[in-house]
Amino acid sequence: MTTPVLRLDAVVVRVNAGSLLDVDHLAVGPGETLALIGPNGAGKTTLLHVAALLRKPDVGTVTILGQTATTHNAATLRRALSVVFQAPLLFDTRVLANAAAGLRFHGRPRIEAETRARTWLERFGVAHLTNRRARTLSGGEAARVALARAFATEPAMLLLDEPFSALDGPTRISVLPALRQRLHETGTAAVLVTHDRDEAFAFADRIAVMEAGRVVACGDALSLIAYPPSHQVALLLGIETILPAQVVCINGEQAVVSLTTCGPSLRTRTPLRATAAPGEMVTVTLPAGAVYVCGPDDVCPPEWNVLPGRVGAVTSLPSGTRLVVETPAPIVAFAPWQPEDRRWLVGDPAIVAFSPESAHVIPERAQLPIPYPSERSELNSSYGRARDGRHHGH
Amino acid sequence: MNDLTGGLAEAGRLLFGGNPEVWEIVRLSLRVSLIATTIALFLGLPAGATLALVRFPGRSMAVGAVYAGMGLPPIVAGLLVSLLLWRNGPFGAAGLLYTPAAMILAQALIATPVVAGLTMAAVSALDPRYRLQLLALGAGRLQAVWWLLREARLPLIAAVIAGFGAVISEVGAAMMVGGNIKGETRVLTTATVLEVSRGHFETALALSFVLLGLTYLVTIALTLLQRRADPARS
Repeated sequence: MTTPVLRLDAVVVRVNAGSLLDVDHLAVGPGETLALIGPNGAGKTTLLHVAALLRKPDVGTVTILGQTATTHNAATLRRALSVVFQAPLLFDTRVLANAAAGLRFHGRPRIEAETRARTWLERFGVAHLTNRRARTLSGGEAARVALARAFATEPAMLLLDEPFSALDGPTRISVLPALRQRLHETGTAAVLVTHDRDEAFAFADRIAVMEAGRVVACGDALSLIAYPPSHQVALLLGIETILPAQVVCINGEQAVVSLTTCGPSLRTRTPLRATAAPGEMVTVTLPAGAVYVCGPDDVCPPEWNVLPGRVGAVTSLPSGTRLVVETPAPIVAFAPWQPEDRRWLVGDPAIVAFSPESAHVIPERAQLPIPYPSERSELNSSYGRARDGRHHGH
Repeated sequence: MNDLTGGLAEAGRLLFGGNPEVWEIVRLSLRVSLIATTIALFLGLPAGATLALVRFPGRSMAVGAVYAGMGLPPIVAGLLVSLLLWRNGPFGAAGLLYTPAAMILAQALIATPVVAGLTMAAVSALDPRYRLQLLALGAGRLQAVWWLLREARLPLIAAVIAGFGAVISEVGAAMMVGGNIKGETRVLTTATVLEVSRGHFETALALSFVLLGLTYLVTIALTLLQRRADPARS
């Protein structure tokens, strides 16, 4: 087994009576990219500062490349990391001196530092700015210089705290792939804090969802979307169809549930790890991309769930069409553009169809907060934590 | 109006009429003020940076002391130094009272809180994330402080200008601890006071013009330095 670049174990950061951060375990392997998403104040930035050894946790250990961080070795271990903050935070000097700063701090001679800095400025397409004063750069240029500066020390891991939040859309679209490519080429691990879901999905191998200081879900993007572990996480991941239901029966892998709002039964096929019993209340989640909308006369696969209804809302997006279909429960569907697409209008009769596999069942028990051992649970009255987090998260 | 033009003419005569006494006074004024400012810089810069960056018990009291010191009346500073250097005082044995050294001491006492206070304000005004960024890039404590001071160099030069301005124009302490002894501790401000008390308004005016010109030249020099340091200009 390879040593993870970063490992957090039982890390708690307290503020007053509550805790800002309470992470049982989180690890990032070599070359792996992890995105941290969650609402403001969820503790994303605090987690990043702890991982960057810029903030010492009150409890727990941070391990960088197999070495546990202490007050004494933090400065040394930090050299394996690079941090890019929300603002580019370039120093008031020339671009080249900025890009070379990390290497100079590491004690490299000026010529070597500047040569390597120049290489990285080139790789991020800003070599022509080498002699400019850093303060005269545009937002996009500054972001690229900040990235070049972070890569120049050739860290094992990059920690990125919403580095693109200040950039406009097109600039962001041009910087993000450049970053991904460099990470891939160099095999650098990365943690990206973002509140932009699309950015997280576009960037990371794995996504960690944070809420109120905790990592409430962690996994690859597809399995998180297909099997969100809780209602909360489904909401944070942007799943729009979340329906309350009751288990009717369970046949091996397949569960039949009835929607409590209206009654129709759905067939679902969820690996019910946390098994639900008939009669139990559950939540059904349905990713919009898994839902097909067809005309009343179209034929659907026999195993599928089919709900008739009418189109309630149509939104045209650059990548496709988002439809809300008013079946007994409103169901959101998303279809990528097809040249021969029919144009849906509000009020059109339509049929919503989706496979049993795409409807995921969350047992009600998963909604409850995870029970937590002894003394910590008292400190973490979740209300206080959420409130504190909101003040200190960013 | 007559007084003013007369004063200007007199100033020219004093400076370029081969009168060594005036040049002596100018030299001493500059020497005392520049040395005092330099001492204030060496004490005030680290003190201000420390107050801005380090949290320690008693910090708020220290900050209060610096702010009070910025408003320290020169006459009080002069009195303090006089008491210390007085023949029967704790440092009386050194025989420093009524020497340029005593004036330098008093003026450094006046300028140090000014430099410390303005340094503190300049460093505190920096985005606190710069410090995190420096540490994250692997900077040591001293490297981080050095880079932060470089970030704040424009307001720091302003702090030096303010400190110099406070001491070159100061008269009460210079008079009290220097004694305005001709050829030894007479500086532009004390000489001006003397000439006014003698009724020599034109000479007083002339000395004032010289003082004004001197202050202007030093400030210009520092401003040029500031402009060279300004990234917007290159």
